[in-house]
Amino acid sequence: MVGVELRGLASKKAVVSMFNFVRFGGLILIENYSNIGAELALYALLNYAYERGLPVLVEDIFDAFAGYVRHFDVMGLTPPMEHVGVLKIGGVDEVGHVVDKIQFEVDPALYLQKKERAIAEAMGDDRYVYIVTGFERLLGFQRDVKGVYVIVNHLRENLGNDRRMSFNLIEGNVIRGFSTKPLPLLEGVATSVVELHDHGDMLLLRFRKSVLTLMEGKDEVLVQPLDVVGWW
Amino acid sequence: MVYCSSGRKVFYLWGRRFRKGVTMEITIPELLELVRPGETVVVEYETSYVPEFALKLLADYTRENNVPFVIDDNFDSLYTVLVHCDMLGLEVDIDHAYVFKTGGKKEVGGTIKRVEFHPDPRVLVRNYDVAFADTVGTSKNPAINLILGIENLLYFVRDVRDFYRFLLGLQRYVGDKRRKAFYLIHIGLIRSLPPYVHPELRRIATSVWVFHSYPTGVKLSILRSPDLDLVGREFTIDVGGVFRGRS
Repeated sequence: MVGVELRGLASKKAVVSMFNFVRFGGLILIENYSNIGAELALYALLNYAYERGLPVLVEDIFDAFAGYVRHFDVMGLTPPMEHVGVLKIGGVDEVGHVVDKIQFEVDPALYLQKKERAIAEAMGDDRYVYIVTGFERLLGFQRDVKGVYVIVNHLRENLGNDRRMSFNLIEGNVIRGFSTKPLPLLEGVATSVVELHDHGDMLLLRFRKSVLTLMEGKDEVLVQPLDVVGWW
Repeated sequence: MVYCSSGRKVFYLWGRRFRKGVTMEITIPELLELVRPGETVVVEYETSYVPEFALKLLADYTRENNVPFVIDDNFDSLYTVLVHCDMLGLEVDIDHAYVFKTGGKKEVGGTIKRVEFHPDPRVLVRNYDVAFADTVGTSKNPAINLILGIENLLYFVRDVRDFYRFLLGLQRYVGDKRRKAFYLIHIGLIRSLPPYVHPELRRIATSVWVFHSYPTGVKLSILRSPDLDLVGREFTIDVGGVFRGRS
């Protein structure tokens, strides 16, 4: 697995091998600060999982995933969706194959319990890619740090759950706007943290903590958005 | 028609060649051609006459090209802009416009539809849905939808959940090919709201345009667009011409 080429503009091969580094049981936190990075990351992830034959479970908190899919529509992008199940948490806008809907609960413990039951029912014994969108919205609804702590602790408990390859796609500027300041807690529990930034007309991937950079001695990768949409 | 070259540094618009990194002048019809049906464009501006010129130029464009024109008028913001236009000496004809009026008292514009204001965003969004149900736009000839004074609605939002209810109401129109929507947002006003509001509005948008004004026109930076070729491009729009013909 060694030898991912991280020089110059990243190719599809390089990006795919970055994904191949991700282990089941890990939690990858993707913080988006760019304009189109979230859509591109999601597009790449859905395609990657499809090519590897892995089912995907998307947790769509307060229509965040629906928003990205609406953007795909306007952009003319059609990522594969037949391997994707969507678990709605609150929200009103249903896209894709919805496996279950959970009303938003004020008590985070109650939400976590209901959510895990729904996931167990939907995924059975399969190994799957687990993508959470809109997590920052859930954290923003918490009235105090205690609620945030309960949720983050649940992530901690699920580290090492080797049926799950978890990606948590959050909007960095939004989460930094909430008074409970949940981001450092979240970064602490994540296995890897990747930031997405605009860099001219390119997208900059900054690996804040990652096994990949330890091995390669490089923490920034550039990709060309027009390339990414052409890879699949 | 807009078509993009396969190379990345150059693209073509109506036979004109645009280079990345070079600021080119663009006209309103050319600019509107860059917006796809179903788009939600967040238009950010500083204190300036951007709303006045936007109204004037969009009103002229839609009337001359038989494009349905819909204005969301929140709390008399349309009236305010019209008075400013009058004082500037801009002649604005919006007799052909459909106005969705939420709150306020001053009824201006061609056909007015009342959207009853309600402080609970769930009710307000539902009231708006009812008004929008028989909109004039079609996917073949999408309406230009100018949204004025959205910040007036945001001031009523009491907490995080209320804000998201409101935001999700807006998001459900993203991708509705019967319209091309332009949310005019004063950057100073929006920054005085809780810090998550501005990035969330940008997030649901398909395009983000930032305007900087200079004495005779504006510079437009396209921060986001569904057309990846347009991201990071800059244009200037000359508005001095609209005064021509004044006697």
